[in-house]
Amino acid sequence: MSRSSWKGPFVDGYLFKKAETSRKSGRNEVIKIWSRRSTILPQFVGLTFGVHNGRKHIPVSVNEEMVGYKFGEFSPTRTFRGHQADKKARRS
Amino acid sequence: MFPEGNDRLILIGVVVGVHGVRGDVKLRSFTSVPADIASYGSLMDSAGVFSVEILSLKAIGELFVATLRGVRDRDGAESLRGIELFVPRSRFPETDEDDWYYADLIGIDVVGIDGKSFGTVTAVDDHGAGAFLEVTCSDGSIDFLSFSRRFVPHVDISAGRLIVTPPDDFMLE
Repeated sequence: MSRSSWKGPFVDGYLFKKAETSRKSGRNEVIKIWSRRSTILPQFVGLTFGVHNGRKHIPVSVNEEMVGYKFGEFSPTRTFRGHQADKKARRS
Repeated sequence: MFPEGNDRLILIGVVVGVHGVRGDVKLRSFTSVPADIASYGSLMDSAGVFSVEILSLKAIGELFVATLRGVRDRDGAESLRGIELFVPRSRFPETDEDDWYYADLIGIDVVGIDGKSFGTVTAVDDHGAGAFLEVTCSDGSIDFLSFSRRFVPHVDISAGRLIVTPPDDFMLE
């Protein structure tokens, strides 16, 4: 069952504070968070979060398409890399 | 030992079994578009001496059934079972301006703007939120760096290094 819409998206409160501080500082930093359950909101777009996967903080660069998803969806707790073959990395 | 540079061999598939009595084999492709395994011309074994060419390819589930040039019976196909298929890096097509092959990025040095060495790239990943690099320091510690213009302003594959402007707490955990 999905979350009732009248409640609005769930976000841990401290993320707003961290995001705001990061924006104001203007420094090259990754905002380290443990809140995998929080929803990605439009005000997080353009920031880079380090989302904990139980072991390390995985860099998550937030863009418009990610709004509405949870942070944890971009930081898998189990990783199977497979073979590199001809895979390409795009610099964002 | 694999050759260096553009002649080094990159693993792109493996023969996992045989199919039928006419010498067809079952292939597992590791390429980003699986059917592209047939577009790289003749494929080599790990030593770079033996080569096979894919004549036709048919998808069956996650695998492909391939007809190889010169393999016409089941015994010939059986002899290829388990062989890993490589292709020279030079056969990969050119990439767009902001794209790099994982094979080029892995193993190169990560250096700060001030010349400080952070280690080498040991893996590249992308879980849907942009690519990032796994950087391993000489002492074995690992950290991740987002592969973005902000953190990696300059990529110099020919010189074998990335110029980075990492966050303040990079490599401090």
